[in-house]
Amino acid sequence: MSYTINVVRKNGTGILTFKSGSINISETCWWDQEVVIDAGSYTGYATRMANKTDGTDGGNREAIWLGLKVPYNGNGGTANGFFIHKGTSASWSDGCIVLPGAKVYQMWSEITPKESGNITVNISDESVERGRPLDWDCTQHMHSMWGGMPAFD
Amino acid sequence: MVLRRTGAVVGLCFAVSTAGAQDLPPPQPGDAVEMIELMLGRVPSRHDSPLAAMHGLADLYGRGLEQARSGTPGAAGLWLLLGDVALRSTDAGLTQSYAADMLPLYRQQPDAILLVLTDAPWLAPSTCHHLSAYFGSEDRPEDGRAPFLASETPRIAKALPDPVASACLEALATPR
Repeated sequence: MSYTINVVRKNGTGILTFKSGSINISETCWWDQEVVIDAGSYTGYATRMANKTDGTDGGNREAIWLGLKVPYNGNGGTANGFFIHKGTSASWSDGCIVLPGAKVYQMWSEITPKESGNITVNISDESVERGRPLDWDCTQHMHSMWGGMPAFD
Repeated sequence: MVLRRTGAVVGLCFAVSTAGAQDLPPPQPGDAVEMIELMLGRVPSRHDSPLAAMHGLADLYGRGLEQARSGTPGAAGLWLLLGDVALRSTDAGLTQSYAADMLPLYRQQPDAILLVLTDAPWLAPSTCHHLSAYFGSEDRPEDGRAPFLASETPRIAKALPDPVASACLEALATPR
């Protein structure tokens, strides 16, 4: 079984979506603005963070690991320790993507088997389109027709 | 005469420092190799898959922290070194763990931590970063920062060389 997690970022927050069976998640997520994973597609693993003991089910923290050599900040650097895990704000992140623990647990529980690269994590940035096409410029058109606007003294 | 006396003092300081370092047991060979490979940006060779390497790094962290907490000689230094590697290599998961665990360890044994930084002051920026990051991250309150800074400023200023202490205290005073 394979799974897909989509993260669409815009203006400092994002929306993480996950659908599988009866699970349909669409939730706000955050990350450290100074360490931003490059947009792209990554192989994820449902796992636990061994050094965090605050898992929703009482075990270690549930998480999705994004694998080795994940590029960040668009400058060619890569790092190995990016996860999707629980958090209530960007203060829970040093580059990880965080969202409320109940949603992480719901998603994490649905994914089987654990410890397998069976997740595709797509991270993208929503482009912002501003304004509208310029109106037809009648004065410019008149310039070209008359070779210049008449002077009105 | 003055030169000879100065030389003797410098020599004595060097001898004391060296003797202290020599008293510590060497790191476990497997851990040392893993640490060097991490510093070089390699996947540690003792793990047979990327996932195993991720878990192996978490184990190295946990083992090091446990040994440092129990006062195993030399363990605190190795754990701080791994923290430096984590920060420099932008290991987000590990850096978050250091933000949570460094300050409690420091509170438990501040002199041991500062002794490590005295011998290896280049570890101070990452260590002080992690100490500072405790406050405010993962919903921990910021309001413990000022009392901690007030109580630890004399100890840090006394233990570390002036520029190192100043930089550390500045990091501790600065919320993220």
